[in-house]
Amino acid sequence: MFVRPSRLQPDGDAPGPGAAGQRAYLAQAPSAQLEDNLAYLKAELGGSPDIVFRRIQIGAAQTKAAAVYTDGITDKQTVNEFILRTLMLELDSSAEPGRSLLHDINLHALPVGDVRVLTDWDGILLCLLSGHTIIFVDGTAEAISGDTKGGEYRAIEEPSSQVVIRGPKDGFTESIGTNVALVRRRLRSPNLRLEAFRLGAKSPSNVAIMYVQGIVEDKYVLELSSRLSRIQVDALSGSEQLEELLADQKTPFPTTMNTERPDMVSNSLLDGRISIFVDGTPFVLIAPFTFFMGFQSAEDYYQRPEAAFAIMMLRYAALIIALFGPSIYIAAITFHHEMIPTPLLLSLAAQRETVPFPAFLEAFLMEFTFEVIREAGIRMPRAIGQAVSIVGALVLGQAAVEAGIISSAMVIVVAITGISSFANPSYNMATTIRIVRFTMMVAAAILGFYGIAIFSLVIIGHMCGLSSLTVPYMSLKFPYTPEGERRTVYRIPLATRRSAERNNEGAAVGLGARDAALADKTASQTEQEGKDAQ
Amino acid sequence: MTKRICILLLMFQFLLVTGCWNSRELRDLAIVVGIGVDRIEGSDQYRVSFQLVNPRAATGGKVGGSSISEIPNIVFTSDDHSMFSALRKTTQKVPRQLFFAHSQLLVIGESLAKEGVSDVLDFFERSHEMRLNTSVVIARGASAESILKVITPLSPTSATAIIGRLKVATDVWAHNVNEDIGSVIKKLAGGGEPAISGIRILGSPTQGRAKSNLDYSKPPTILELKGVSLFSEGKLVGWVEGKSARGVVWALNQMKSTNVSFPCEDGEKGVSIEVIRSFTKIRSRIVDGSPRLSVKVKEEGSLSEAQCKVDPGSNEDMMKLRRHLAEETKAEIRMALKAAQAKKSDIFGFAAEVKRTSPKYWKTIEGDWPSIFADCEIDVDVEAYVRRTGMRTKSLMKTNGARTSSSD
Repeated sequence: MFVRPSRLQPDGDAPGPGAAGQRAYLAQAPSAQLEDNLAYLKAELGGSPDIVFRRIQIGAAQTKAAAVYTDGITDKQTVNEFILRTLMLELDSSAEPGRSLLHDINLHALPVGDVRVLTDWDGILLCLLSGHTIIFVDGTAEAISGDTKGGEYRAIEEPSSQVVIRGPKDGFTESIGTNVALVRRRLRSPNLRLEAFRLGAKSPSNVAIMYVQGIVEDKYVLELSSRLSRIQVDALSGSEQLEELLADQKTPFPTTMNTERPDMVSNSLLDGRISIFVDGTPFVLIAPFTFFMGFQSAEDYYQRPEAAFAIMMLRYAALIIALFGPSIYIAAITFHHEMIPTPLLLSLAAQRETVPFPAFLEAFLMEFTFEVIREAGIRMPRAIGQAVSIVGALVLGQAAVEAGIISSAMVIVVAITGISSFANPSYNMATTIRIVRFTMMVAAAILGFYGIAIFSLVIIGHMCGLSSLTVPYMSLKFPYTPEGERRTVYRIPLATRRSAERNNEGAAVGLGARDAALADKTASQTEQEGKDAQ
Repeated sequence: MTKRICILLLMFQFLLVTGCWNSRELRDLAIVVGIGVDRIEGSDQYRVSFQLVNPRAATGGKVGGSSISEIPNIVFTSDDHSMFSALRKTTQKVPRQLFFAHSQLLVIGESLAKEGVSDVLDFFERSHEMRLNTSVVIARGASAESILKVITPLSPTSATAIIGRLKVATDVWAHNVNEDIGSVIKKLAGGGEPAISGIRILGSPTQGRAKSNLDYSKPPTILELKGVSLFSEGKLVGWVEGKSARGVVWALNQMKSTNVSFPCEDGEKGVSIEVIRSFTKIRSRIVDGSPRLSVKVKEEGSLSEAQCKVDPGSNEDMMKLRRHLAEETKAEIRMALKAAQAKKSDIFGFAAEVKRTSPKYWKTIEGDWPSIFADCEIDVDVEAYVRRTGMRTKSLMKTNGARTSSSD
């Protein structure tokens, strides 16, 4: 296969080279004295009360030992039943204190899945803070960790940011394990690959990338892996930072997709994309991301192709309005009066008789107010939501018109622009479009339609120069198959849709499109594809 | 970085600069919908009238919470030797900048038309503010100014009112033509003459300009389209009206739809046929050193009214209708041609046709065309079809003796 840069297991048994460098001032290895070790650990963690030190005596020789775990992120029952209970009551070892006793424990006394023998403080601290229980035995400089991760997590709920009418209702949570499981449950393919990374020098976070071997192009996996291993951060608070760190260029446009929906992730994986899971956030990243992908919704695959196509076109129309609405209004009424039909011009002129501001200022004022109301609507406590909507209706509505501050046409323009920007299925794309819209308004105010044309060219030029994980941003063809194009621009019927197949060297194709039941058809499809190719 | 911010700030100052380049606030514009040009009697000055629309009154609604009861129709006039200086002079009287992109109508006073319109039209062609697709009419028996001053029902301004008449009447009645400045100029430049509709005031012009004109269910003063102009060498020389005017429309290939009536066989009651499609071609050829002109019409109509018995199933009846329609059309076109020839007014575009088909011959007679045209022989050939008889097949009219003569 191919050589990868350093990788770590999800719960890493050794810190990355970067992490080790940061911690060089620490004592590298535990000592053979139990009390020394416990004292060191206590000092290192600042005596935090949520670190529990349980001293016990084990074995026939009543050797001194201690179990250390972090309260809250461990499952109490597991700690009690499978660690403390077995060590204190069931361990029947006559081994001498020290190394052999530790190995006895490892082999006979710890009925938990993931057990490791640790010999350095970095590994011990990492395991302890990821929810493992560490067992120190007097007389040996080694420690054992047992996986006791647990504690409270948010349950799987319906995604709040990407809603569908028809389709699965489960959404990702803050737990990376749960999130990976949600996707694996959908893609029961042996070719589904998961690779783990640990990012963050001060507070390491678990990051995992997932792809379907045989569908994804290797170069993207290599590229992503090398970028991830190059990242130097102190801590990752979520996938948003990673999104920024992974971007190919500096740009206001989103170059990775984020989703709360496992079904979108599995669809993307079958399209040959890679998903990036970050522990602690329900938003999973998908790369490579192309511009037109931002206008696809999970809903598209849960509707009849005709309806889905019509709705997709509606979204593109909404994009145009959200982008150009106010600027076209400004350009038309300050530069190009001749292109407005006479009755409409008269009506606009009548409305603007009493408005004291130039059209640009009026439009800017209204759009600005709209954005403030939108922002307030998101940030405010729910209890006072009504107040904002009442005030919002006054500011953006008839009252403002009657006060002679704005014209009623402007209210309509702002309203339709606002609604259109909500029709975008990708929230971060919608945010970018808001920024571009304001700049576009400035261009329209300076040069009219000429300005709009110039600025549009600049924006399109910029977008054509972008790439996401080396894939051109404006590409219509990802994955690079004859049908890829049709799939991106409009939604094609499922009967004609097949998994993009890449490496045919004996690798089975990822399970059909939606459903495990399609798996047995894969062989015939592969055959069919061969024929098509000829 | 500071450099960048400075540049950005500099760019932003463009926004604050008012009156930059072509940016104009709607509030500062006076939208001109109609322009009138008159010759002042006994002087070589033009009187140019601008009909502005008052948007607040035109849209009729409430603005800023208070309802408006102003007149939507405002006319400003200026006298000067040239159109352009009259236009600029008007700024002394109008609080806003005159805006011409929406001007829809040019009214030419009859007295000016008689002296020739070419001098005035140069400005409309030259100015970038004017539109060549502005319709043109000639005020009959009144000044252009008084036409623009009439307050009309159903329309905010008399200009839009005249445009409405022009469009609808030209389409369904075809006794007038809807010519715009561009095509008038084209015809004058190409050796032909323009055909322009006339507009006249019915009632008192003085009463017409008061708001009280609208206080009656039948307004005492109204505007009416009347006749088509005959020009000769760029000067108005006469009018054709009624059936001859329709003949002009036919010959100009501008017939869209009209209604042709002719009497039944008993001579008292009538039959109406709605012409729904018509296509006219004019031809010229040189025979024995003189031009031979012809007008060929192919038209299609449907029976729209019959006050006597017409049997759609009868071939004979239908042939009779076709024949009548063709004869009537032919007669009207002949009337139009005759009237035009009498005034030496080639409004039909024969000049361009002769120029196109026999350029050598044209060169020899170029200057004498109006008189040559007046003496030309013009063939009129009409092919008419009546294909439909409306929503009814058998008329409610009782079968009479004529029925038995049907041959089916």
